[in-house]
Amino acid sequence: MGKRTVVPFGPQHPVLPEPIHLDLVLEDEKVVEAIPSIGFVHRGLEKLVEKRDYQEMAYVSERICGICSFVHGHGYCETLEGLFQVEVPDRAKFLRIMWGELSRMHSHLLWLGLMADAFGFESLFMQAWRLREKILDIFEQTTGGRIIHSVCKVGGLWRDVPEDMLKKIVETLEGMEGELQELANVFLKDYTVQKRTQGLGKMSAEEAFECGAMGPMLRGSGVAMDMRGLGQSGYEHLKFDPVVEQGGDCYARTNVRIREVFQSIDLIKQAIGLMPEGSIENKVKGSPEGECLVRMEQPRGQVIYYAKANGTRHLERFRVRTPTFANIMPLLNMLPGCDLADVPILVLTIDPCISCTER
Amino acid sequence: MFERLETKSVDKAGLVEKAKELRQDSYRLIQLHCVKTVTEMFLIYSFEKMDYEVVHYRMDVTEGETLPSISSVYTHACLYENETNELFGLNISGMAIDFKGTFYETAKNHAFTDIVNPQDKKVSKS
Repeated sequence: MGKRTVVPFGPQHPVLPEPIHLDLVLEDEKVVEAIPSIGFVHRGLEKLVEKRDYQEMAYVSERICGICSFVHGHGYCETLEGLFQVEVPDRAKFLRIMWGELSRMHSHLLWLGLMADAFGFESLFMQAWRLREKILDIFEQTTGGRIIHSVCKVGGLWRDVPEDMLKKIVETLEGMEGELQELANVFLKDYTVQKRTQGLGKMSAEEAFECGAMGPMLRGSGVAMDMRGLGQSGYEHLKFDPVVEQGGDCYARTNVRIREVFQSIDLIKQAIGLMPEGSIENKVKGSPEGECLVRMEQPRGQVIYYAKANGTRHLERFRVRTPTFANIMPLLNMLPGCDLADVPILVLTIDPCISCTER
Repeated sequence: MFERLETKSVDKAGLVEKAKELRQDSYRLIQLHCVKTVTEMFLIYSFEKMDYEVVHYRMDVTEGETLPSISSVYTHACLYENETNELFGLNISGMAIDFKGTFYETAKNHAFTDIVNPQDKKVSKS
């Protein structure tokens, strides 16, 4: 047995995109144990429901994360719609799907860039982020914001998207497919990428399921679970099958995310094709009452929203269980046995969003 | 279409046994959270199967109460339990990893135990 050393890793570190701290117990250069701590930027946004009324909280919940801000706003509104028992019009559902899938595309492209940066492939990083810009441009043109969109409201949407813009979105996405394929080829076929990702952080399907892994972490291990498969929020009208890979390693998880980018383009095209004309809102009246829990698929995996209301304009409790929180335990299971040099790649493979976790 | 939140009841004496039973039945823990209102305090444990079926268990608790950990059955439960301990002040015994109050580096201990009255304008403006 080699000499044991504890190396503090994060919350500030050149290869860490997010403020998580790990105490890495090493034997020579092998990790034998990892002890996490978070909470460096805990904001207590859930607690704000006691101060902000339920409509204002839609804006607060968007600020849980700067990457999947739309999804958090959507999730909050859907939870409140559950309390009000209000069904939003179909046009609003399909527009929500469109923005949700655009969020997934830009989140995955951002992650692919960060992953490339973590193993030192800088031109790949730049290409991934260059393509991501096009998605942010669509957000800006349709919502007015690149990061915070504020288009969701309880009962529907604040703004519609004109038909000519929808056509332009489809054209832009179709135009991106070739460039995305070139990017995918490098990620999946390049020797240097394979060398750093294949066989690393292996998790079997049983292991991934039991330790609470979510999203691409779960599907990369061969478990076909994706909350879009629940058939709600408009997804019931779309042809959808979860993207699954069997490898259970960092390479398989990269492959899942790449394939999901293409899947999102397909889902957006389906949603726009099925989008009816008409209203984008069913007005809600009064104040919410009761309890509701909603499971949704965020880019990083399953997210759970819970709300409890007592008939006033302020909720009693709002809770968000983010996918990154659920993926911390799989990370802790993957780290023992790896080399110190692989720690950044393993941290990145869960696509950590500590901003979400520190809601 | 909304998933209705239907909770079954569990007490602290039967909690670990119930968790074992659910694990045997191929459920995994997907979340645990605490709710504290002016009148009540309870925990909700949610378990899910691979076919998306979900069950929720509610356990009524009192402030500062000591509860058993289910991390001997589901190891990852300890993260949720540490969160519950640090934000709501519930003591949970036998956690697989006990961060002893350092999981969340919050400025204030048990930050979610004080309930803010929304009518209090001073608080609303802060």
